[in-house]
Amino acid sequence: MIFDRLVAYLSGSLMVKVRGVDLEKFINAANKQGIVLKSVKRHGRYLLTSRIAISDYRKLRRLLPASQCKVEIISKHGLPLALSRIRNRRMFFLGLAAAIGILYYLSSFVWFIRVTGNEAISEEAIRQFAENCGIRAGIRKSEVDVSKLEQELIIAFPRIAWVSVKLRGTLLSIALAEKLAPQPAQPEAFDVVAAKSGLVVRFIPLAGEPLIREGDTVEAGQVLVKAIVPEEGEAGEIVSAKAVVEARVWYQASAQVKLIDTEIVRTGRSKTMGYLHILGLAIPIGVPGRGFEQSECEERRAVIQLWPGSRIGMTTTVVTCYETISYPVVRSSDEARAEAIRRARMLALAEVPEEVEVVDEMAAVSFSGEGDSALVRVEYTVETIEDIGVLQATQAQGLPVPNLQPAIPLPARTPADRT
Amino acid sequence: MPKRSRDIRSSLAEMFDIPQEVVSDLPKVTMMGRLEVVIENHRGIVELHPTVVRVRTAVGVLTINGSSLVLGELSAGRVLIRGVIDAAQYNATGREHQ
Repeated sequence: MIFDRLVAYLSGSLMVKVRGVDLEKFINAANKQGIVLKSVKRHGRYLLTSRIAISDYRKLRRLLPASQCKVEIISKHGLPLALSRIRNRRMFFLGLAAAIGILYYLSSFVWFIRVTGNEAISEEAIRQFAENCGIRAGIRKSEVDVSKLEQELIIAFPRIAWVSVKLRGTLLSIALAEKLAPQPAQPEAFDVVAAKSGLVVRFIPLAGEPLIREGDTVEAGQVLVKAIVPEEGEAGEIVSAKAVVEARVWYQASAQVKLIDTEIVRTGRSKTMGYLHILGLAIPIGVPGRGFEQSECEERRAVIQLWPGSRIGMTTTVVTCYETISYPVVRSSDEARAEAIRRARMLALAEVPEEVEVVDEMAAVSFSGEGDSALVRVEYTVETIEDIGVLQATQAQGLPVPNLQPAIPLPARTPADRT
Repeated sequence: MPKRSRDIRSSLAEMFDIPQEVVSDLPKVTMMGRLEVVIENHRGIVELHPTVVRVRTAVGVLTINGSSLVLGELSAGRVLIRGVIDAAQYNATGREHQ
């Protein structure tokens, strides 16, 4: 079957339309002449279509006068036809062949150099070095010695731990990994300083020179235990300070609540509006509706990528406005006091670190004003006992405290400790 | 072909275990489901129509009924009919040739 099709393609075939009164007679006459008819289909009484080999077309024409039929070519298929088309459009096919040839020739050159994985070493330095080795855009691929370039890169840049040079089409890819830089030398001597202001309730100096005692009030950043550093020329070892320092620390916050106030609440109605940002223009999506008299709006931005990981994308903004209504709230003095305490306590506790336990809480309530301006003010204090001793390099005294570590990890406190 | 000559050929084919269609000009009809009919040793097309194809053979006219009937290939001695085949029937006038 495939062989028959191949032969039909190579020899070429014609689709013909035969019109006549006695088509059966025509078919039989063609058959007697050795003409092979394929896909013979009758269309009505006087018309049929058939496929024949190009070589049989002359024989077929000779039969027409006797059978009183007329033949017409509908379409031509096969290699001879394709060749004749090529002959007719010689320049087009010459151009096509030339384009393929040029493309093939140009693909034997390196046109792009990509450097990846470099952090400390500049890309320009690597490109410059490669150029000095003769590797530049426009060089023939056969002239690029990949393994030699890898070796030379490793020798020239001691920071390179691993390098891979690969040729992919017209791209020369230099992928490298750098060695990790050694950490700067740590100062050897550390003091214990106070991370927060407080009243020291437990102080156990383990190493170094203690500067305070239990019961002292200390300020944030104050040195509590000093490291022992021998003077130049003196014998002795550097001893870093080490101590357990627990102190009472207070966190304060205040809040005030009016007895007659207005409260803003959402009614539940909302409107959403989208914008598409293209070339600096914000194009609204959908029909903009009428706004609310009083509302709170939330804006969300999103980037729609053309495909996952694509750099090309569109930014959209979705603005949702919720209708709000304000209505008066009248509180009794007790309610206002409770509300003020609640708010102040929440603010004060927000400052307390998570792992620290609260040992005491105090609220100072004061009323002021009369009538519409009457309000309750609350000063709320949260007391904790926590480890405030942190290490700080001796040389860096007087500097701010951040990035410090606890001097000694505190054991878990039991309820008995708190009393 | 005279009846006597045909009988002699038939007897020889039987004696030497040769297929009948090789020694005689009897038609060989092969049907592939309802999709194709191949008729070998035909003697021409009597009628070609999408619903009926009539083929002349040595033993009479063979009528193929069906729908969308097309001559897939027509060459000397072989005709391939494609389409949906409903029936294949010889006409009664061919009986005396058997």
